[in-house]
Amino acid sequence: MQAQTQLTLDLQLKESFTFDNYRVGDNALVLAMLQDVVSESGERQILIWGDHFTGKSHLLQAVCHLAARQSLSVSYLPLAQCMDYPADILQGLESMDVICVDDVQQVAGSPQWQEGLFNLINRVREAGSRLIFTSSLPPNELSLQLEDLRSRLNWGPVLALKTLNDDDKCRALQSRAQSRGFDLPDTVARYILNNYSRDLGDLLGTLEKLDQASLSHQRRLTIPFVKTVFA
Amino acid sequence: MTTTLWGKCLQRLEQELSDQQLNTWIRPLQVIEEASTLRLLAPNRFVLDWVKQHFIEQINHILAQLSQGESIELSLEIGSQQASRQASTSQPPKKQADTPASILQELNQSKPTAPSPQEAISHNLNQTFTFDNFVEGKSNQLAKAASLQVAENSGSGYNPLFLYGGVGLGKTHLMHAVGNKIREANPKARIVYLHSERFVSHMIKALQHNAMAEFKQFYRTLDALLIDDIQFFAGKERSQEEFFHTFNALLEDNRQIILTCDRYPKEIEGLEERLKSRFGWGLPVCIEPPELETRVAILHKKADEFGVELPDEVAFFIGKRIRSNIRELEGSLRRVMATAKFTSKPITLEFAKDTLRDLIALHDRLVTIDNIQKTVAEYYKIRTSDLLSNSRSRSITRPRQVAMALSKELTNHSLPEIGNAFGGRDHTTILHGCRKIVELRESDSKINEDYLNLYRILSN
Repeated sequence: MQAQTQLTLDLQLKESFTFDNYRVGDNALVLAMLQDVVSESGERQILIWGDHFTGKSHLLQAVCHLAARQSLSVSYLPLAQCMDYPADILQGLESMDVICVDDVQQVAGSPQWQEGLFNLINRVREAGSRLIFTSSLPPNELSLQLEDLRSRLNWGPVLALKTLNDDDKCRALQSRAQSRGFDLPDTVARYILNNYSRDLGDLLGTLEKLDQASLSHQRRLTIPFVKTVFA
Repeated sequence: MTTTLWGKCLQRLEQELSDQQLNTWIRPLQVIEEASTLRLLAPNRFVLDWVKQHFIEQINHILAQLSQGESIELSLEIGSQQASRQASTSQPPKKQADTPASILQELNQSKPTAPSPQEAISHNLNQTFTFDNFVEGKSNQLAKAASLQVAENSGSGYNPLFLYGGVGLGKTHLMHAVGNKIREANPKARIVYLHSERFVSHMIKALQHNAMAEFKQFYRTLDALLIDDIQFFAGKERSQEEFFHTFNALLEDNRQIILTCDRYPKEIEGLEERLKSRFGWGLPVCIEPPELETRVAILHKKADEFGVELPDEVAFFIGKRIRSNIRELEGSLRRVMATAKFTSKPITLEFAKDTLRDLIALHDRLVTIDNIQKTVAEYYKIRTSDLLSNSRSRSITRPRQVAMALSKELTNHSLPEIGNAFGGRDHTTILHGCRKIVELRESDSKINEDYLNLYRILSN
């Protein structure tokens, strides 16, 4: 939902979120189940949950791409950006083959949205479409007022996405660096991981700062340089 | 690969838009391509407006380039095209006017050939919900018996049949089972099942389109009307009014009404008194959370339906830990089955434990004796310390015994452990307390209600 002016900016950084470029880590099983959603025998409803930066949205986009490639109709709904709108946005979505709803935890505190989602699940069940949810927590830990919604979110498999281990985080940093056109040596990646916040989001932020610093100082990324940047 | 104009346009948009924009706004659009027009169907007004505001110029621009001078007329409308499930582009769109009659029309249109009047489908029941595959246990015995009664004496027995109870306990299943049974005896019976939300939306649409006469005609001539979750009528006065009249008309004609709700009629807030009292006219029956044996039987039944062999010990393991409702039971079972499928491992106890580890840790964490004591004390408005004390006043001993019984039912602690947690009592005291509650729940409806309320609060 960005404004048009941001669009050009997006273009330069545009990375397509697919299953191929998802850093699997310990989540191979979740991946397999999600990929199977588009098949006849796949689950009709799945909820995946996990911390920030476990790649929940990435996976949903990947499902959309996969479904679209198979000529299925799909809809992706980022709830984080929808809460200011009426839950009417959910109307008619059951006519899609696959419906991906991102960040279910957002509806806590909004009776209208909880009822809206509840109704959507009922309609989707009747229509025989597929539903995939992501959430920061499993349904039983979300503060939902509508128990009817909670029980329905538990209807299909509820799967946890595991955070990446250090090796995977290093590789994630390096591949991000690569895609931005610079090299991140192993030793430097380790150093960052061992000395700053290990949250993947923070790490990527750190990387961004380093990229800019190395550009403006015309220096390569070395441990001493990293130290001076964050001194 | 797609060679249609829209297909080419999509390929361009894929390059130009972010994944999120594409998947949120563009991909949900369904398309009908005719000679020189392109009709885009949006699932709702919101998507339509958004696409108009943000993307229509871009789309027009791309189309102009692709069509090389030939003018393409682009239109945006609300609608959906069920045929798009097969990715075909030539069928006319299914109008999205969700009118009452459309419930049955949809069904008839979904048949490959146009049905003759005789074979036109006259119901929209889910035929997989029958009495045969409804797992009976102590918690739902009465509800099942009442439903069977109604199915066999449709319209002339209990009317309305009012099924109430917590979420995910099988109310909807029973409701459809009654409908299906009625149709066994009378295949031409016109039976409509719908969620209360859909009734409300039909009514609003009928009001908007000045079609109230049609609305009334449709609902008042059914042989049976099944409305799910009528608690969502709360606060919707106009719908209640209309439903009240529909209700009366059907009842007068001895047509069957079946309603489900999450609570007893009198307890629905925001519902008119006259409706509450009418809901109580027939037979209100409660479905309670299934006990362990029933949960295990349900798991076996579901596994059977999926053609999966479920060892007893695994069914017991899952049934013991997932107590709140059947949906969650099904979700957990599906997770175990899917994991087995993808790892090509047999479903053993160890495997199930491993697969559901996070879920079980969560349940154990939520339901602790400590938590039970706090919740019970709060419920009865006494202090937690009273529960642990030696006080023998009735106002303390009953809640104490309720808390003991809940601790036994909801946690996996041993009786000596529970005794310890209740101020160092002997495990025989706990056993006595639990038995007492079982007895009292049979004879004292207040205690039974308290127990079930607390059970619901704690296990959700």
